[in-house]
Order: sequence, then structure tokens, then C-alpha cells
Amino acid sequence: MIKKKVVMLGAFAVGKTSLVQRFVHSIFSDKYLTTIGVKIDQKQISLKDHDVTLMLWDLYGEDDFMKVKSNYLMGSSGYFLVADGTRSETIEVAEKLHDMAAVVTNNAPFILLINKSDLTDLWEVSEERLNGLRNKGWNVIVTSARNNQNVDDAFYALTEQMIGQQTRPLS
Amino acid sequence: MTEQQGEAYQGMLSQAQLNELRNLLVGLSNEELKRLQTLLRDPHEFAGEISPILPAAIRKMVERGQLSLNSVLPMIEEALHQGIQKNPQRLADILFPVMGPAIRKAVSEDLKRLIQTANAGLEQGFSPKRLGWRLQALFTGKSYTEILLAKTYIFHVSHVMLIHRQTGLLLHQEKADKAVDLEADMISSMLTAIRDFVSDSFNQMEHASLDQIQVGDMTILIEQGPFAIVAAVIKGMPPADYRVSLMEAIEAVHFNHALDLENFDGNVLVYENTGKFLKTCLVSYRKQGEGSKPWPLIIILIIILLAIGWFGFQRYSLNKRINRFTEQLDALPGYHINDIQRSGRFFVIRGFKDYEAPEYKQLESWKIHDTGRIQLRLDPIISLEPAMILYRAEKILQPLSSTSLDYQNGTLILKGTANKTWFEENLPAWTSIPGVNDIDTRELNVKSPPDLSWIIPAIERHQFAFDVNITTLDSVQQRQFDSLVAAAVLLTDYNAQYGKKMAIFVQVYTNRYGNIEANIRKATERVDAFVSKLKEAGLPDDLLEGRVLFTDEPSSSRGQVRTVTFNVFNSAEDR
Repeated sequence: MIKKKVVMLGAFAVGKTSLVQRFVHSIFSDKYLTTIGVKIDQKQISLKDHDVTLMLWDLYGEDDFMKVKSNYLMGSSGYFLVADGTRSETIEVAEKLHDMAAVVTNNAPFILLINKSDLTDLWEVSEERLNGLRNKGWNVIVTSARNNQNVDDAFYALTEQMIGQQTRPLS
Repeated sequence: MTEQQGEAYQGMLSQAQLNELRNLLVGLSNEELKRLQTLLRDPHEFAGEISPILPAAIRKMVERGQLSLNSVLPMIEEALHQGIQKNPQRLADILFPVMGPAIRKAVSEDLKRLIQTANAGLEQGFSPKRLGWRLQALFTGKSYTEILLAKTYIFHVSHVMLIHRQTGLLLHQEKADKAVDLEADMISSMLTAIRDFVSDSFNQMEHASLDQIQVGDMTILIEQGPFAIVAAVIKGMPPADYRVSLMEAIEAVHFNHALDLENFDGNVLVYENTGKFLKTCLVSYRKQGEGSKPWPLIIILIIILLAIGWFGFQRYSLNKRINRFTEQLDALPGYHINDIQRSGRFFVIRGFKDYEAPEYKQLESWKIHDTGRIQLRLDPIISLEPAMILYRAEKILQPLSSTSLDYQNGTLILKGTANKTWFEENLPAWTSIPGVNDIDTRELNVKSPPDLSWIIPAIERHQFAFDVNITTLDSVQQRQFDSLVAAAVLLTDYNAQYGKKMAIFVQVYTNRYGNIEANIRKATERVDAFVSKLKEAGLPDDLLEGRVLFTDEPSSSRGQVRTVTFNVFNSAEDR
């Protein structure tokens, strides 16, 4: 049995909690997010050679990345940077959060999730910008928590990165 | 010698000759020289070569005074100082397994002193329960305070979790029997989050830690190690020394898994065997009296007490019955009881019994269900005690009820009245009574036997005629009535002297005219009134019997209505 701590990082209201809820069945109330700034969920997934338990630390979204409690990142094996595709400035917040997280986690694997792909009319993030991030070596996945688009794949992908193997190709 | 010269000489000498020459000059072979050269050029090789002899060399130098510890100490101190300044946590991690026991020992000593102080204070308290605890302390050799504390708390550890300190991931958990399953992974992470939150919110130093969370009567005690923490979920209030158990568990985990913890990569299987350390923390203590009472023991004790009580009562009751029987037996004429002894289940009563003494089985106290346990060992005697002499006299002489017997100083005294027949026929037998030397008949009135031939007519000649509704006697009738009573007294004497049961019918006559039932009722009232008058005059009840007769019955030919007549009869035969 392998257990991994995964942190959800991102600006306010980008859909971190919705992504987690789509992926897992929560038992803790969302009120923990506003009380101690973190809500923890658990998901057990099976890869080809491993059963992995993911402990998902959903951090309260702060547009000001300086307010993010770095202690919550300690010991993470990987993290998601979550941005809102209808608010391009959230990508900049994600970039700054990445700078901090990379140091605290000692360059742990991460994936940038551009969420809310179902809101096509309000979409602000261009493909060029995403390509630019990909060119930096980032793994960028466009997701929709509402439509369950690429959510499971994203979690499996990060898990595989953390475990260091590739067992499930992205759709 | 230059290299060119050497090569020149080499050309003149063979290799073997050169080696021999080298041996002669320096005493070493070519290979040995090459090895020495390598050692000098390579510091690692050189260090490896001299390392076995270096400690001995240093020891020799210290012994010879060439090297003192004072000269080395500053260098060691400086190295330690710089090491601590550079990474104090590292040293703390190294010392953790050593510091734990040392600190615990110091704390234990302090606690011991504290307990001694508290003990002195608590010694003043007094109550029946505390008295019991003091006795327990006395018998068990424990301190009174230790027992006092143990009796006043209750706690139950339901879960113990081993959590990786940095990631908050659950490494292993143990739970008590029948404890509910917890979301231990989630709780581990949340505990870590709460710890981080508290630490972050209040700007605590890194070494500061969250040690305890209390919610109602549930407590989560947390003991921190450098790489892992152990958390115990406890119902109730644990004693202060319970934390020592947690300390020992986390120390044991670090001692056995230091490298695993430091290089933790998410694999928790390696911590399966930490269960044995965590299980030592799964303890519970039930306060005395809180749990279910030992009913089986209580019931057994009650049964034993009831049995003891029942047997005690039976024994007391039996002794009482035996004593009563013995007293009554001793009081019987002709019996003399010397002692009673218990022999197993039996009571042996020893004494003497006159051969003519009355049967003891008539005694009321003999009528007990356990007479089978009585063994009478009575030696036969001829008793001369007054009661036995009188009993024997009564038996031999068979006096009439009007004659009483007494015994004084060898003389049998007879009182009352007796008829001449008995006096002449029975009394001479007194000479056969043991213990009777003489008789005294001065107070015995010996009468000639009354003759029924004149007593019966003297009674039956009377008759009383009354007018309607008149029951009182006139003066003439009153004289007749007195005469009747005198004659009836003679009949009473006759009965007493001869043991007979002669009686008198008091008869009233009526007729069948008019209402017969009313006539009978009136006649019955009249006869009852007359019988009452006779009884008031002193005649005994069993001498008189009233009856109503009809004037037309053959047996009442001489009777007339409202007339009272008298008829003597033998009540033992004629009824």
C-alpha cells in the first residue's frame, strides 16, 4: 500500500473543491476550508502495479498567494495548480503558487488544470498561452468539474507521475 | 644516481641482479616499494592503512604525555558547536532516542517528589472508603496516593495511530477490541492540518507542537517524534503517566525505523510491525464500582451467610428443645438427670429413672421431630423423692376424687372424704409403698355410702305447678325448692364417692293445643329458668338436664301443663 499527499492550489473560486468532489466522496464538511483553510479528502485508486491512497488537501483559495499557508504543502508528493479558464489572471496566481510550491515540495510533480471548460462563451485563455506553459515543461490539462471532463484522468496522471510510472494514457 | 645512469647500469646488470642489489641497499622488494609509493601518493589509501594503528598510537601519545585531552577538547567542542549551529535539528534527531529516556527519568523523579508532597496532604483525608484504600496500600506495598489516583480516574484508549509527521499520512493504526472503525487516514491528515494551522496561526516555533486535543470527555493525546507522531484517542481522563507509554512507543518506532521514516516515500507496508509498539498504548482502566457489580460473588456470599444463619438457628433451636425436654424430664417424678453430652449428631442424656416412673413420652417437649437424636441412658432406681412416693401411692391406692394425698417425712397424709368401702378395701395397701412408713387419716372423713333407694324418691317427689306466665316461686314452693336442692346435693356426694354419673331430668309439660311451636318455646323458657335457679343454688352443671314433655305422651302421664317435675337417671348409661 502506497499513500501520497496531494495538494490542490489555486486562486479563489477556480473550482478546486468541485474537482475534488467530482473525484471523491467527501465526508468532511466544506466549512473546514473557511475555518482552518484546508479540507482533506481521501481517494483510493488502483494503478497497474500499485494500490495508491491519495490524501487530497484542498487548500482555501487565495488570490493573494502570500496568504497561502506553506505548512500545508510540506510533505506533498505532488500538487495540482488549478486555474479558471474564464479568468486568465488566475493562471498568473497559479504560476506564483507554483514558484512557492516547487521550493516547499522540493520540485514535486504537478499538473496545471484549467477548469470550467464548459463555460465556452466566457473562455478567456488562449491556446497560445497554454502552449507557452507546455513549452516550459508544464503538464496542462483543460478540465470541467461540472461535465466531469478529464477530472479522473488528471488525478490518475498526477498519481502516475508521483509513482513514476505510466499505466493509463490520457484520453 | 640519475635515471640515465640507472638505465645505463640496467643495461649492464640483469633484472635479478638489480633486485638483489636493491634488497641489499634498502631491504625492500620492488613490489613493496611500489605499494609504499602508492600509499604516499593516495591519502585515502594511506588513511586506510594507518587507521588500525591510529587509536593505539593516540593512546600511547596520551600515556607518554605527548598529547593531552585538554589540547584535543577545544577542537571537538568547536566541531560540535559548528555542527549544532549549522543544523540543530540534526543533532536533536540523533539524540532523540537517548534524550527521551533521560528526560523521562528526570520527569519521573520530579513526579515522584510531587506525589510524595501530595501524599502528605492527602494523608489528612479520612473516610471509610479511604480507610479501605489505606489498608490496600498497606497490604500491596504501594503508596496511598498511587492507589488514590488509580481509584479516581477512568479512561479507555480506543485507537492509537502512527502518523508521518511531515506528510500527515497514516503509517499504521491499532484499535481496541470492539472499538468502532474510524476514518483513520482522514483523521491523521486533519490532525496534521490542525497542528500546522495552530502552529502557523500563532507563529509557534518549529519545535512547538500540538500535544492534546480535548472534545467533551474525549481526548486525543499526541506524542511527537522527529519523523513521526503517535496519537491516542482516549475516552475519559488518562493518568499523567500514560504519556510515558506514548513516548516509549514513538521512541521504539524511531529506533527501529529511523531510515524508513527519514526517507519515507509513501510505502506504509514497512510499518506493519510497529503494531506491537502501538498496542502497548491500548490500555483502559475501569474505576472501581463503575462497572457491573460482581453479582455471582455477592449471591454466593448471601447464600453462604443464609446457610450459616440457617444452620446456626437450627442448632440454637435444637439445643433449646433438648434443654427444655431435659428440664421437663428432670421435673417428672422418678427421674434424675445428671448431664447432657453431645456425641456427633446425638445428645446423650444420662441419669436415673424409677422403675415405676411415668412414661416420659407423654411430655409435650418430647413431641419434636428430632427425638431420634436423643439417647437416654437412665439407670433404674427406686426413687424415694416425695413426688415419686405420691405418684406411686396414687397408682396403688387409687383414691376417689374427694380424697387428697400428701407426704411428709415418711408419712402419707390423707384428707377429704372417702367412702367406707374404699377405706376398708384399698387403703391397707399403703404398706407396700416404698418410702411410706406411716399414714395419717385424721383429716379424712369416712362416710357410709349414700343409698340411692331413698335419695331418688327424695328428689322425684318434688313438683312445681305454675300459673300462666308465672315463673317465680311462692313461699311454699321456695321451701320445696330448698328441700329439692338438699336431696340433689346427696346425689352429688353419691357420684363423688362412687365415681358415678347420676343426673336429674328437670321436666316441664306442655300440650298440643293452639300453636305447638309457641307452646314448646314457652315450656323451654320455663325449664331453662328452673335449671338456672338450681345452678344458682350450687348444683353442678352436669347434674341437671332440662327437657320438655307433652302431657299426652305415655312417659308423662302424671304431668300437667306448666308443671315442673324431676326424674333421676344414670347419665353414663340411660342417655
